[in-house]
Amino acid sequence: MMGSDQHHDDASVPGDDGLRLALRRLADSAGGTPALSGAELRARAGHRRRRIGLAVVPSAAAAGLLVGVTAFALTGHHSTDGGPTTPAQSALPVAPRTSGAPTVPASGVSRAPGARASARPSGSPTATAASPSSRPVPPAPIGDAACAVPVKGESLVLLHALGAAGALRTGTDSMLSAIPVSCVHGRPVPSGPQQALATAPDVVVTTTAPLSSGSDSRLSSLQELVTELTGHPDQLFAVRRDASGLVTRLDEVYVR
Amino acid sequence: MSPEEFDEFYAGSWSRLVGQLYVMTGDLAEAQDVVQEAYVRAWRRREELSASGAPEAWVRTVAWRLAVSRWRRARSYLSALVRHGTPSEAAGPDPEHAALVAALRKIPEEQRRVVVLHYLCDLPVAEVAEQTGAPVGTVKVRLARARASLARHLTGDLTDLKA
Repeated sequence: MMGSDQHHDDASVPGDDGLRLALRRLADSAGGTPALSGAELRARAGHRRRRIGLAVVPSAAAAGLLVGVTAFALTGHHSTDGGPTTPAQSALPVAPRTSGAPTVPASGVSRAPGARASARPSGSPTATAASPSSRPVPPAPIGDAACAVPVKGESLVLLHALGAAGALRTGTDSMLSAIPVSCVHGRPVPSGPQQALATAPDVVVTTTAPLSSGSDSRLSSLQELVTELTGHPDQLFAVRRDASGLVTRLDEVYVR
Repeated sequence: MSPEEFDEFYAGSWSRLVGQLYVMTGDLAEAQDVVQEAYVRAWRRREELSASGAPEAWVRTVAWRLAVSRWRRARSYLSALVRHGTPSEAAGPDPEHAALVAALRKIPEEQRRVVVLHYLCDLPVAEVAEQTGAPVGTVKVRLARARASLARHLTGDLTDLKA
């Protein structure tokens, strides 16, 4: 778009060539490589987009607390089918749980729950009872209402696809890349360098909006995940790995 | 624009745009800052970026507006000092560059902008006018004044800078 050999004489005067050359040399001296990679830049853009959506969460969580307390006072128990939920969950569009286990608390950012045991692929490395997403975890304080809380053994990442789904591979040739994130002042921020994810062949994947429609969680395949991430990169996921470091679970975190 | 296309665009145009904004702002750290911010916005508004047909001009315009906005809020200099230490001349030991940067800082921002668009981006006056939203005559006047000011602020003939 900026051919260096173009000349525009409509405003040129003697000495222009010298000025042009000097300016180019000055501009060239500023050259270098960007501080952020493309993925990091896109992740940064994604964080800001999420912050906008999360701005309403504290008030919603507080409202949920009131509703939850009132409902408990009237009925003597929580109205959900599963275990106790956090007040914030009551107020947020959390995917409905189908098992009897409580949800991972995440006020403001709701983690998509794991799929029910019967819906899991046979041979899944993690049984529902042992699933990280089915463990009761203390609720996060309302004041921390903008961050997901990973359960022990899991970590949060921003996930994106490295290539086309047609070239799907697992193990160390996985087509997925992740940027570790952690909660800082209630916000998910990058906490480490980008890394390729090595996935187990039978990795369990659950997705929610925007990768799948609605806020409900649903089981997905790695192939579908890679395809969807191409259109919606840098989604927040909870990742669980086995002892060898292979990823065995990927649960998308629902961000309102 | 897919992530791969965006990354390619980003990698291919970054240093060029930083150079242009460096000349426009006279501050390398500031230039890097606003260009990076402009790319972040470009990714968030990638549909608009693609539809523009000239993504590099789009990012340059956004970066320029960011720089102007910062100036007007009189925060850029202090924040750059806090974040990056001394201004950019320290990074370029070349005395010619330092003299040119100093001279560029002495001319009004809109004159610097037209200088960059005309001399660095090789845009004809009509296109500079279109990108800046100023009449063609105004652009010509700004260019003439910028040339005169730079010649006055720089010791000797501009052609000496070739050496």
